[in-house]
Amino acid sequence: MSGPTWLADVFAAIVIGVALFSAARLIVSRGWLEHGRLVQGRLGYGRLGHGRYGRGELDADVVHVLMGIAMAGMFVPGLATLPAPAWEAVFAVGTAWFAWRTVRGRRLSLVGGSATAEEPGSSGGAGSFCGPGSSGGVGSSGGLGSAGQAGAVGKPGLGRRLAASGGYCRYPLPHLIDTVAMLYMLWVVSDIRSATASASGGMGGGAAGMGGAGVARLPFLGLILVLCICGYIVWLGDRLPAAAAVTTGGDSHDRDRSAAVTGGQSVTIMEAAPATPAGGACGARVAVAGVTGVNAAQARVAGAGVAQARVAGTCAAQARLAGASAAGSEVAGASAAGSEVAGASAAGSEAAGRSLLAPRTAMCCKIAMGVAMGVMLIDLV
Amino acid sequence: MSSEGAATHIRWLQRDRDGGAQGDRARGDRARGDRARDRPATWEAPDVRRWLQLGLAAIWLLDGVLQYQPFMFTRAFGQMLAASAAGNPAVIADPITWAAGIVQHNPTTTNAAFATIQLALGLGIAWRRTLRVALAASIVWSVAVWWLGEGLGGVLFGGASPLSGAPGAVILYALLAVLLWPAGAGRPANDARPPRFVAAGPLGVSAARVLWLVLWGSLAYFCVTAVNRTGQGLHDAVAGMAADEPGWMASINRGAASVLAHRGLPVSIVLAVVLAVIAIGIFLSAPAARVTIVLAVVVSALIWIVAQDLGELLARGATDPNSGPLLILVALAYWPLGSQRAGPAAVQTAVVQAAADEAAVGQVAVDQVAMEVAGRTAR
Repeated sequence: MSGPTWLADVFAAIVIGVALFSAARLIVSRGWLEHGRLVQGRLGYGRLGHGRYGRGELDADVVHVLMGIAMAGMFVPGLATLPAPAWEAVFAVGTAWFAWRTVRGRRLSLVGGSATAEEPGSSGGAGSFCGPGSSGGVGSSGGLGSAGQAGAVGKPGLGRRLAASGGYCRYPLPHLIDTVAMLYMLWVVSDIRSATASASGGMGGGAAGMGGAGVARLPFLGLILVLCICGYIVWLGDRLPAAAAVTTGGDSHDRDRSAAVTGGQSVTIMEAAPATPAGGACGARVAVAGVTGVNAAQARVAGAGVAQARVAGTCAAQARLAGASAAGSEVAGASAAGSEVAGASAAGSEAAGRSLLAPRTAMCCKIAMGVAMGVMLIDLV
Repeated sequence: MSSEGAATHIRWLQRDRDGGAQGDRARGDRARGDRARDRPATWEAPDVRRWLQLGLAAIWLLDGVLQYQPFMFTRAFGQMLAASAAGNPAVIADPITWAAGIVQHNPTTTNAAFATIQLALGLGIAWRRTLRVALAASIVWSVAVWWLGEGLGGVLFGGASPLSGAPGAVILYALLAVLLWPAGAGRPANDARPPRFVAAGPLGVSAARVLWLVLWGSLAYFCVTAVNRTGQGLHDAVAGMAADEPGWMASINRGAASVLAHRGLPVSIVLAVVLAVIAIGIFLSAPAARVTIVLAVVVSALIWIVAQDLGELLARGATDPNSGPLLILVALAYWPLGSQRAGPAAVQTAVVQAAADEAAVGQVAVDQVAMEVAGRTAR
């Protein structure tokens, strides 16, 4: 990076810090060890030790580790580890992975229900804090229990989607943009380095000074990436309170609350207090989903509203009111309600049981990484 | 535990666990005690105002990132600031010269501070807990930069042009901070009446419209100042942008410049009329106001692309994206909110809360609560 040396050092320290945090998260969450079981939903959160371990985001954490190492080498040439072609190969794989996950998530959301119609903007759930714009709807951090259902009433593929996400980040699109940005930067840096080297008689320029050494190709692409990253940063910043809610989640009640707060577009969630005798899963919950400003598509209450009431426990009742005329009511027994009542499905309970590990710190790290990446991109553009 | 027992303990999830209303707690207790215990841990999906605030935050963030460009850490940045003093009266120009001198002597320190401040403003607006502080700080910062960094946008000596970003892009940040100030600050808590448009929330309809009139009216006026109505004035302004731009952008500049050649006066008059129509259109009925705002967005986008070259972001040395995106944000803040926005979160929350209170007190069955919710919202 051109400009003051100390500034490059600061940014290198930031990205290394993010990489270290992500590595620690990988280790603590044990996602890399237990991943197979996570996907299959067999891992009860007692096994993970709820409150001690949480769910990581395997792919996002891995890519952050790699991005931190690679960007540190861009900011400070002395910290360069691998040659540029090796990094390009690494991030090409990452790009392919997140592109596949984005497409797959999109497909699943289409199969699973009208997610995009109900949750426009698809911010769909701040739950995983991975980012906006993809499959939408469910707070993976908190779980299926409430928010997922509140935000995604009537989505048959929901549990499957949650289970399928396993320890991966729920919203791969921002990470796809990150990996594309890394490829772009590596490409431009190599370009400028070779130009500098040839201009200086083969002395070989380091990363320093690359900003002023030449003109980047496709600057418009770089600008678009910067804008996307800026948008992602403010999107994350807006959802920091949601992360705070997740970090406070202690028992099942709080997990439900966290999910309710962070997931989907639920606005108001009422829930039965858990301070009741045995049968802790029992509760009454009324979820009114999707009331956001002018967004009529989400409004299930006004006009085309749905109010959903659920009672789980020895008997489970589910009442749905669709439309202004309260179109229907369903009451189901405990066995019949198994698919949607909190704690009933394995995938649901598994997802609900494990909150995201250090979500607020993870979000701050993503913000810091985004700022560093934006500075580097602008320097190159 | 029975489901009836559960129904007696309905409570709001937004509230603290220990501070949540018990089933037998009176409604007044709930209103009094729990509001104070509300934590920002609650998160609601952004409404229109919040989205616009996030747009402003993103632009501040972009400004901060741009400020980290290597060019800004050189003395050239201070010289650029000093150049804005030219043409201004001494009372305005002297502080500019003084500030530019400081920047020239300490380019690294001062620019790092500038960049960090702008980053902090963007992040502060994005983070809800610091929203008001960040918006207030952004007003102060914008006014200071407008004066010391942009020489008041050249409005005092006739050098301003809408095509070059008059009345100064940075003052539009301050305007946006005012227009997007969190609504309801001075309104009663039970006042769920939605404003007619976002900008009317903090100021009221009349004041917001007057600000709109001043902004777009001044742009119309700047179009027909002596500098801008000369035969080659607009041509030179647009053609001069092509330097340092990528080929496709330079070709747009050249094409537009050829259209404007020797047509400065008629084009200026047409542009002034269009801007005047925009200035007045906000006072018309809602459908006409919508047309006006669409026109404002289109004109702003055209100016941003053709005359401002995307704020010269693709050429080195840009400190902000110029006025185009900000004018678009301003225009969106005036978009009339239709009756369907009658479903803002506040209204819905109030309805559901009333139902929950009844359930908590009277052990209303859960399905009855839901029925009531639907009925009330339908009404």
